[in-house]
Amino acid sequence: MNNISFEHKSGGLVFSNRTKVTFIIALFISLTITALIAITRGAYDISVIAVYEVILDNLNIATQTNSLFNTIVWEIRMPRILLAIAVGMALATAGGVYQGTFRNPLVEPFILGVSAGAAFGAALSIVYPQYLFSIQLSAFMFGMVAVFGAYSLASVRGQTPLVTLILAGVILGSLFGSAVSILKYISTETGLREIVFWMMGGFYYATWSDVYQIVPVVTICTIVLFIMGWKLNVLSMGEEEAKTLGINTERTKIILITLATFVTALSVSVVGIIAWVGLMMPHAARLVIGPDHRFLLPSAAIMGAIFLIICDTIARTLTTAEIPVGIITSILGAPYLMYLLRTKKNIFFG
Amino acid sequence: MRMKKSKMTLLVGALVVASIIGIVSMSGCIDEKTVETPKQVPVPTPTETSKPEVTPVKEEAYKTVTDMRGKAVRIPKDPKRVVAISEGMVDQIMVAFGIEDKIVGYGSCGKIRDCDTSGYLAINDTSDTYNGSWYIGSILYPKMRELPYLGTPTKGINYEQLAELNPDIIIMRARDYDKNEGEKKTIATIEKLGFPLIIINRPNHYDKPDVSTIYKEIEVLGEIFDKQEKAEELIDFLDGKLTFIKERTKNIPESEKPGVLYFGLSRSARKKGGAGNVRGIDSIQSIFLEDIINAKNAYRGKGRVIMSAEQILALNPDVIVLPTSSGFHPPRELYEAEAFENIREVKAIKEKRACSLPAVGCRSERLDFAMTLMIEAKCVYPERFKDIDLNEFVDNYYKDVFDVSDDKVEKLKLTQRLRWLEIIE
Repeated sequence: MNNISFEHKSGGLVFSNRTKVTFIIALFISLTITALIAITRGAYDISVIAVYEVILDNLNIATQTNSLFNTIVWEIRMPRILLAIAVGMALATAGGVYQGTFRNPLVEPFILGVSAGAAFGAALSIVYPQYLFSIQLSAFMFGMVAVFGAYSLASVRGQTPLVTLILAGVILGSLFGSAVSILKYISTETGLREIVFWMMGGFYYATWSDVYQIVPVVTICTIVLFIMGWKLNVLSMGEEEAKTLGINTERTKIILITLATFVTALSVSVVGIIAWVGLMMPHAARLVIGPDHRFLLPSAAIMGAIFLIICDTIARTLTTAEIPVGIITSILGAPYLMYLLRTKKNIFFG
Repeated sequence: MRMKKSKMTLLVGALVVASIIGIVSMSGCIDEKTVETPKQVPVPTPTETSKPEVTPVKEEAYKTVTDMRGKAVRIPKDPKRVVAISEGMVDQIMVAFGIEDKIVGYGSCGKIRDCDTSGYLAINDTSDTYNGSWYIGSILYPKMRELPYLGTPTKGINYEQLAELNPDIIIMRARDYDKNEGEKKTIATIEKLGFPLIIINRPNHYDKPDVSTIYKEIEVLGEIFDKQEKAEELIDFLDGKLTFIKERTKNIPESEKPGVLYFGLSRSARKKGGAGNVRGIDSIQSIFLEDIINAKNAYRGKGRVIMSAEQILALNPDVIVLPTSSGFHPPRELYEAEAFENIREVKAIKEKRACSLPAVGCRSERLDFAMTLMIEAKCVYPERFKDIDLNEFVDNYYKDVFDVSDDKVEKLKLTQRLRWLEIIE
């Protein structure tokens, strides 16, 4: 099963598995370089050498004694970059998994209502801080509630038809969307501003504690999803075919959707709603490496991480204030997807 | 068809180069700035964990000020570089103290800019053609326009830009730092940077806003800049205006107090099917209306809610006050615009007892609050304040508080759109 080779229907370039692995390694090197450059960029002038001295100092390899440099590099830039990597990987992987599972190239991680649920949780916590523990926890809880609500709604006699699931997701998303509108309606001016800003997404509140919460979970979940890539390949052929090949489709779907939803909800709860990464990156990866999910998922994940690091670096350096990263991802993402749709539709839609 | 090895090498190379070019081009060129030492030596606050490299400083160059969190903060005795994140309050107090040139950066709900569309009128769907900023700080201290805008705790602060400014002190006017996670994180990060951070509380930080906390803000700033006397004078001046209003409006029986409605003519409220938005008894405007002007809010609910024409008719207020609400709204909008035809039977509109408040940004109280209250008091009780010429009152107010020339007074009036809003003639 692991040796199944997928080819572009369009008859485009087809890589051997070895070439694909090389490509993923190259992507990983690009990610490392991007992160290493991004950490040297910022409004505060610190020499490149000093930046790396701070990093080495914190890794107990070298010594540097400037506390301001340490705060800027290690407490402000580093958590943002690590979080951007984790969130980029999470959203792109989840997007790839959703697109494969639902066999629909227009699906994104937010299709089952996770963003609307999380937005409701965050808004609830902003408007009624006295009743809820934290924005993050509340966003995560309601993100998961929305998706599992959709799943329960769509499940009939142990089966969950994909079309019904998407419809249930749309319904739940709409419900939570309305609830967010109600909260915006009754919130104070400051609360309203905060809700709107939260929904635009951003890494400006990133701290090491967020990194500790997100990075290990995202790493584990995405690795599991990468390993399940071959099952996703089989599932992409259709449920009947997958069953014929001995796959327990219902269980596989549940595992895939649960893990993808989990990392999405976790990401959204920390950085808000960041559009386009989950939709665009799997497409971009598919364009380069083809539809084989064993390679597509890791490629999309790394490309998502690179894309978000670049967007966040723009967000924190373009003006003297912060720009919500969701705005940058949309500005860069929308034209790119438009280009893909106009030029490469055969690759995506056959 | 297998990909050729050279093609793969090219692809890998292109990826690496593209990522380098991408990130370099978006964030400026990588010039090897050889800043090996920080531009300043951070002054540790009492709660900061000491960093070994902090240069020893003479104790007499520092003092300790207790901010409105109750935290003792060690600051330079004579701070020269000040970052004010306060939506205008700190800037105005510093202008009043005559030390505005110490401001090196600011934070507000938006960057200072001119706007010609924010005075949207519902009359014939036209806009106010006045082109200028609503931020009176930009008139009081024109250099503000060139200073870097840093954001707010809600929108996020650009910490690196803040550090780049190398401030001696950061003064932040905050509201929810005890419960809002964003504000908490913002404060923690700024404190980690090592710059002294003084927090002053917005009135709505408290369950029941009170002018005494505004006076406290002025006091804290007086202590920071060693302007205690000026702070005292300013507080006395503001309190004098409020006492004057209170004297004129005392002993009014409950039954004779007019019902006042704060009615925001925001276009977005109409788009949502309402006639406008109204402010409840927990709003700072309502609290000041009831405590100082001694009138009553016609809407006895809480919060800021959108109301339909029918609900406004049911409230039937005696007086309507038009605050800034997604634009600036003169009474003629209420009397003439088609959008408000359905509420023309409301007593306040029938009797032409609507009046506007000066244009303000960010819905924040600043040093002009006592002037606004006088304008409002005259609107609610015109008979009791008939000897008050608002034009003269405003001129003197600006001059007394900010010590500005006649020319600047005119500009301030223009910025707060006092004539356009029919507050003065």
